[in-house]
Amino acid sequence: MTSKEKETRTISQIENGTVIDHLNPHVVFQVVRILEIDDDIEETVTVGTNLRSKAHGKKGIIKISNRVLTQDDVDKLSVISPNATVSIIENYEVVKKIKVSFPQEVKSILACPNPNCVTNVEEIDTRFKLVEESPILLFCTYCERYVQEDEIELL
Amino acid sequence: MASLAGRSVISMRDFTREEILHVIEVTSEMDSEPVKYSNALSGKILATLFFEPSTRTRLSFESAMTRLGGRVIGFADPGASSTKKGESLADSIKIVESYADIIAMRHPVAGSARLASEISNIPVLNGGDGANQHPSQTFLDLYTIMKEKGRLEGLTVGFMGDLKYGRTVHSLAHALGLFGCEMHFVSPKGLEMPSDHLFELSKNGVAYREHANFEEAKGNLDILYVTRIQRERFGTELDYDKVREGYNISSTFLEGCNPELKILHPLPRVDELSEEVDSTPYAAYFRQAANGIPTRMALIALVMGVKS
Repeated sequence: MTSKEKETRTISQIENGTVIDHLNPHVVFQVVRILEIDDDIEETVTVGTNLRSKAHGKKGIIKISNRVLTQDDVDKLSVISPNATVSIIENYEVVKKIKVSFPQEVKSILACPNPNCVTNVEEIDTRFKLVEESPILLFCTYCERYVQEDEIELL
Repeated sequence: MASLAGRSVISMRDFTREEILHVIEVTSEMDSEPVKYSNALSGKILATLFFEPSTRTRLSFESAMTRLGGRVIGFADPGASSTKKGESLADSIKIVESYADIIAMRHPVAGSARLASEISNIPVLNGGDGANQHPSQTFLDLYTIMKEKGRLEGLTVGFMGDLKYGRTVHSLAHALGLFGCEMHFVSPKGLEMPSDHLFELSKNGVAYREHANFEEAKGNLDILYVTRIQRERFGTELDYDKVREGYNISSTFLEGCNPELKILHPLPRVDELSEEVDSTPYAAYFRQAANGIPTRMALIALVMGVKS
């Protein structure tokens, strides 16, 4: 069995659902939170962190049974862990693999670091445009401030 | 080019080079033949919502609407509005849009004008949103430069004073960048052009240089845009006084400048521009202030669709 097959077999251990792999290990529990996985969930969820990864040294993994991530979920995920991969599983097989990439527009996920931005004053969603990908540079549609990678904060 | 009818005027970043030139062309028409449009907006109402006081901008919007034959309602002080009772901006705008045909607003919070334009079914003109944008000022600055120099393309433009907090500087620099102007920024330490604005200029391929004093920059300037340096930006009175000396434009200060140089200032001025400069051929700032009326007439007429 090749290492690729081994990996596929390992992450296919749910019958149906989604496997999020290659997560930045520092954000695994943030991802759990933004996907609204909490004590009330009835499906099987496996969360792994600080697992060995060839590409990134360490990684995180989340397996959620019987749930297919929506595009909105993928967009949220891509903002905090742009190197993650999303695999959709059916009958223990990977039927679709989604490479996550930072969205061109980010809505209602991130906070604007400008305290005088209207998004921090009124009850409205934030909205940022992606200006540069590496390092990430965003532009707040409201206060028109550029937001650097180290200033990015989840709401 | 898409029509400006029904559009809001929120940020210079929303306007292309062609749209800016079109606004300037209409401004020129309003300037030379204001009587032709004196009934253009008869029966229409402008609401001026000034959540932050600004006598000049408000009066100028009101005068522009009146000269177009329209009427004006509004408030000049948030104490007189429902904001004081805790009403959200969204609710205030929803109510006002049923009272008027167009809104001109100033608000201390950055992005509030964009939010208002998203909520409102009638056009919103941004008269200043916190430290962010003040596009009608930028249009009048551009119109002044066009009128004084006959062109916007390829000019060498100096900016001097508080370049950190001066929103008029940021949006004018951005707009002039669309016309291939070369820019020189002269400011005291701590009040330099913010790095994200410089980044944006570089990204747009604009040539610029930063200087610690005017001597380095003055050689070939066509335009010098001066802004007020505010006392409260400095830790001590002594720091302020030290800076003030180097940033006072007098007749001697201007020796060796391009004889065709024109000085602009968004006003009010304090110490940065001596009164003795007023009578020199360099002074264009009072003409600039007067250009506020035709500029705002043009913006109102364009978004109201009376000028295509």
